[in-house]
Amino acid sequence: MRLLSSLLLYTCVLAGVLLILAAGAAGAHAQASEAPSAALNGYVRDATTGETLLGANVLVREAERGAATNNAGYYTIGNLAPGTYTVRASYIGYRSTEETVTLEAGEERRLDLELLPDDVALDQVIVEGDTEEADRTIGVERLSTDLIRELPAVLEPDVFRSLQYLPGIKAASDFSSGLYIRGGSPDQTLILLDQTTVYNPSHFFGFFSTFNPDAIKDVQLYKGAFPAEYGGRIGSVVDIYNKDGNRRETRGGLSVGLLASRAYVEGPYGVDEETDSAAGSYMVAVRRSTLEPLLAVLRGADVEGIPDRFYFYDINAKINYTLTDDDRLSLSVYGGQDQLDLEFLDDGQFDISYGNRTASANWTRLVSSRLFTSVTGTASRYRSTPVANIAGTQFTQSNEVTDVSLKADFEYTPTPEHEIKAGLWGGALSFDLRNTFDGIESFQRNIESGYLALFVQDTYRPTDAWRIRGGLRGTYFDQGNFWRLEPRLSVAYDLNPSLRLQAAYGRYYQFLTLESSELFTGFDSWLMTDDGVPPAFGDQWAVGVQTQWDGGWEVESEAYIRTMRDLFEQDPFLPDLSGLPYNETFRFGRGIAYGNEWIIRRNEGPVTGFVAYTLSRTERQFPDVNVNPQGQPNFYVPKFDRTHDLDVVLNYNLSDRWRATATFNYATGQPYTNPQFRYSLQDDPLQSDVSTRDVLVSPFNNDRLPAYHRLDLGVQRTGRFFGLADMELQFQLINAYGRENIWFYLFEFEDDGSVTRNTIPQIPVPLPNVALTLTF
Amino acid sequence: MHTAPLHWLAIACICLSLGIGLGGCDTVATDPESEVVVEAYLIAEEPLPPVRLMQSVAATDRFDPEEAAVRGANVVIQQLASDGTATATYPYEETTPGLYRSVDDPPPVIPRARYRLDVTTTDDQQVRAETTVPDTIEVIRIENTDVVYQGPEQPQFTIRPTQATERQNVYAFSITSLLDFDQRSDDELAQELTPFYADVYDPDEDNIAEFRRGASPLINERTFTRNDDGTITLDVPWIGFAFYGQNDVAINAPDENYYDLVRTQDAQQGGLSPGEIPNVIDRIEGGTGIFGSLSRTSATITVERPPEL
Repeated sequence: MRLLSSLLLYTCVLAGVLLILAAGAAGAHAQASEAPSAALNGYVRDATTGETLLGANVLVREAERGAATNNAGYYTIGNLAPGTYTVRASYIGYRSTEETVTLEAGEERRLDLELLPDDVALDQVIVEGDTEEADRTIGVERLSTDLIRELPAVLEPDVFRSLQYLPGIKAASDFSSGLYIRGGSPDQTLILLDQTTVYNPSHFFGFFSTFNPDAIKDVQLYKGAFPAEYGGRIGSVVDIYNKDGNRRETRGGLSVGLLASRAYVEGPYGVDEETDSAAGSYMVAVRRSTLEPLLAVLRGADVEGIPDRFYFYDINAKINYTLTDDDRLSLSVYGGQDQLDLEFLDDGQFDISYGNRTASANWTRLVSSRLFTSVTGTASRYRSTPVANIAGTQFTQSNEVTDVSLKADFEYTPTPEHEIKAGLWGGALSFDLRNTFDGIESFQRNIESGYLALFVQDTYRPTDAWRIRGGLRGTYFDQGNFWRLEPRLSVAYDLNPSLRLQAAYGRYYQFLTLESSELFTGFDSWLMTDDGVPPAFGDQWAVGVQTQWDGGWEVESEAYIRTMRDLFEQDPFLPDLSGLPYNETFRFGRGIAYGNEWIIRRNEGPVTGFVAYTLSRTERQFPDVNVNPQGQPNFYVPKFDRTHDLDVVLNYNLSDRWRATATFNYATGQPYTNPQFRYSLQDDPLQSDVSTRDVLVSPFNNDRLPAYHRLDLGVQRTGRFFGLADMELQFQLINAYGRENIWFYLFEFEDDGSVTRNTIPQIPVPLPNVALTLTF
Repeated sequence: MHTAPLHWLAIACICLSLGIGLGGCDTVATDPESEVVVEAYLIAEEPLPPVRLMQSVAATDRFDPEEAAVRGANVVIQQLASDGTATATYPYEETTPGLYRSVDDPPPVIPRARYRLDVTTTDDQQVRAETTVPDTIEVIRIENTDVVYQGPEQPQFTIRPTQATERQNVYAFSITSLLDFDQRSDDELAQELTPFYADVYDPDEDNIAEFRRGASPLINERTFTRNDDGTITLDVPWIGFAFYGQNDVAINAPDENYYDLVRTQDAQQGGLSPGEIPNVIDRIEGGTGIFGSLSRTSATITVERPPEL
């Protein structure tokens, strides 16, 4: 508790200093001004649905001052001299809009802005669009849900698979939606859904992420060097928000695909007939796999290995209520489940069930035009219960993660130069892991920990060209009694309106680790720090340059270096964990990652899209792996290292009704271990007399698979469906030219003493996909 | 089009690329070479075992133990005192290619004693390894020695655990069918397979003798029920029985060397990500393989076919 008190004190002192500085600046500014300044604030929304737009940019042209909306869609711009201004709002995928306002001295004007989506605005040119952004932060990517739905996808559009096209983000294979960001493993990325941590964001045992694109409003990805408002992971953050629901009209949609079907409905409620405004809105989206008929046919044809039961589903729902003009309430829930029952051989049965549940309740309040507050209660649970019965012997593993938390944030803009954010996030986390073997509990661990994080950050704009964001995050983790401070700093300099240079640094701590398999995420289990298991930590440095060109072109490049220290993961060489002290069940290592990312985007014209290239390397060092002749472990490249990674995403509007999409990915082959020597032990007392214990001797991950490349194509037709609904029909071809990419090699020892190298392919043939979406 | 960005972009390109080039450290993987492979398992209270010497071969080559045999080596096993000095020396001689046996009648392996293997090959390669033999396992009680397969009663051992070393004791069950594999045909033997193994067995692909002995993974002592008197009770899992009839059920306690070899060789089969194959921990100086020891106890368990099968 002493440490916690120190942490609180330290953070409060820092917050106080920042506030005093900001207040001082405000006072100085007030004295310097001849007349009271005016201010603009409000929400930026989608004009067709009323959905708030997160991260939209608002620019006061004459003053050359801008701001980005926060995660509630709210912006504020102060210190405007009285006068008439052109206010411009822009957002990716939307037509920019402009409004003219005249501000009186001391006036604080509420100006809500609405943008039309590009597809709706095609014939209604409001402003010649460009994508000028007032706040483009280093390491941040934002993905439009329209793009997610349009990209060719293996069986089902997927948020994480779409993210994998971005520079610096890699996939383990065609079968994995896991995010390997800037040399980090998936557990180094914090996944938030409506501010709630999601612990196993996968369906279909890793094939898809759990996020239904119909339900998602916004996907923000912080690839690295993220600000102090986020923490708990040493790598990156994916911050996802559900749709609030259409505030203008009730709409619905139905989508039928080969793997799964989706449906959603959203709309306003409590509509005031006089003002035509709604008290709130709701959204419900469901998705379920629809494989059962196919499985039944295959079972009927006596195809081996077809499961008795296999499905997944998820439900997203959100309801919003506008309490007053300044107070909004929302409740968001998510539930998803995967189930597989598989009988194999005679007397063998797998029953695997896992799923996530999350809930969050949020209250945002606009206390004044300069102070915005948000309070959120969250709850998250992940539970998996795989059971295997083999020859009368039962193996079970029950794993449950529960996380209940409360967050409070405030954003305060005391002066135009300072924007202060501060907040706290406290909660209780519990992991319950229990294994049984043959009816006996072979491993049981219940770990509970309270946690508290406090942060304060100030975004300081001394001039229009500079933006300096400094922050400090303090985290206390009860299990192991750890408290850590994490400084963050980023600097942006606009050399001219089209060119921005940026640099950022941050220290990050992580108190959790994930035991996962690339092959199968149904057994995923989380573990946490404790005595003798200190948190992993790392430093990240990034520099970047962003440019904008005429014609909707953007070119960006970022370079990063990050360290990873005290990495802890369950020791893969331990055959049994029973009775071992907790800290002895782990191995500890370190890593480094560095790279250079490039992206060229075009957001206007008949052909839009981007080309992304990453040159990178990531390395790890763990005991007993890649040991040198002196017995010490050397660094090695893990399997997800790719030297070169090129992605091309293109959209071409063939006509008002037809659109073509193409994606291409090229990547250096994955590292793998190519065995060089072998021997077979002949007399092992645990082996049968005719069996041998076969051993490979290999330089670890010292070879590469052939390069990976794949082209996916898609054509989309929009129109009316028998006059009943809007229709969108998609034809897609995954792996269009049938590249036989290799997933991994499997080395098998044959009875005659030889070793056979079996190739396990990724998607080896062109795979067609058809999807029909109806919107009512 | 703006021209200034071009200029700055070019500078940024160069700087960033230089930064990348200078930023990282290099990784080194040691290229292995062909090594002498030793293989010997000292079993407590059993005669000092033979030592097999082989040469590892290229992974793409076929491995034949006779062709890989290391011939004409000088092989000695010594029993060591606590200070590391030799208290007894047992010279070995090659009896068949690559297989070396004690020149004299092999003495029994002494529990908790330490032994050293010294090998000098004809080209003067020195190979050395040491092992400390685990303490013996004392069987207190064996229950359910005649059982119906997957019936309500499960074979059960109650043992007094071996004296623990720096780590807790680890055991592995090994179950060996006592059916007469020399006299019975493969078809006859296949009739005696329990259902799971009967389904696994493919007469065109598999040698049924491979099913004769199976072993459990290494299991920590704390997994099992510890009784008030300090003994532990172990239920023999049904999955270990590949054949009906009489089976020799052994409980094995490996030393550090054998434990390390088994656990790391298991990891070669998929302990890390697919395609990542770590090397084994072998604790052999100047070579590789295993110079390990174990203690064990066993009993005969008869498993009857259920009436419905």
